[in-house]
Amino acid sequence: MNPLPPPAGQNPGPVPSQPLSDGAFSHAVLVVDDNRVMRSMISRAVTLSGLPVSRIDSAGNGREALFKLGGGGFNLVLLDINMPVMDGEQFLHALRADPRLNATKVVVVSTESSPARIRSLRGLGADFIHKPFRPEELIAAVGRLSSALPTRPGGP
Amino acid sequence: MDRDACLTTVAEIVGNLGFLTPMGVAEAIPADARERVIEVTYAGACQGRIVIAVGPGLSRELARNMLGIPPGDPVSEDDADEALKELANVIAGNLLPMIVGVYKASLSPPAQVAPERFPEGDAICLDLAEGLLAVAIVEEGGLALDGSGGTSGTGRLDRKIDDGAAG
Repeated sequence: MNPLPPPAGQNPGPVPSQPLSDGAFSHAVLVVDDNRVMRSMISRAVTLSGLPVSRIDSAGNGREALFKLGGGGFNLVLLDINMPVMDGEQFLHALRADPRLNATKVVVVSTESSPARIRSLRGLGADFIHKPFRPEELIAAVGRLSSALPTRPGGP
Repeated sequence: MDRDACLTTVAEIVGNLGFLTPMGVAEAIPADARERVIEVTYAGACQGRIVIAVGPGLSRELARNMLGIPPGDPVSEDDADEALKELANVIAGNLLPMIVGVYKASLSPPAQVAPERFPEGDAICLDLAEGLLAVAIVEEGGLALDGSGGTSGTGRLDRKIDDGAAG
């Protein structure tokens, strides 16, 4: 059985993005997908994208993702929707309901094509890119969220 | 469903996700040459399954491409299986709107099945530089999307379902 996320009171929340010398932000990324090959592929795409990344890790479902986020250190989640145990939509609701985690930025990476469901995901503050995606689409989605990423006190 | 649109979608996915090279359209994969068969079922307004079969060696090449495994390095069976499951998942996710139109349906996780689960008859088959890949859509009932009073059949890829003719 997967461990439960730690109680909210013990949760340090999303790590602030670290400002770089050129004014950009580094991303601490959690890739959430139930397929191991896809997790590896997305992680590699992030690494090769040129995006400033300070950390990258992965989880196989929403519940595992919440547990890892509960440990702190992430500010960006790349999220699949159709997963066992806890799917991406359930994860998003749980994330937004947790005051310690609800500022975490999320890009949904999915084959989902229903306009209503995509609107629902966007309503939960997530950006969306469609599988299969091109690296430029990932960069653009992260870029759209970056301006709102929390920064360290004293940062730009 | 528009067969050409379906074929184009599958070809784009194998190129963009799997970095495989479509060369053209093939007749079929012979039954004894189906090395791996993956099935994704859909359920909701209508039910059925999307079945993907590949010829010898293709799933290993797919895993090599998706994982960035250098030429000459071994590819595990598990990696080949996982890579093909993800390709099947993405193909099914992209074909689903073409099958069910505006109606709701959900997909099962992809599962490897016996080669005999791949239906004989009408299927899309791509000739890739790395081997053969075939996709079949098996409709197993649901709404009368074509106004015929119900759907059930195998690989009816030429059936128009997006014309708003639901019952």
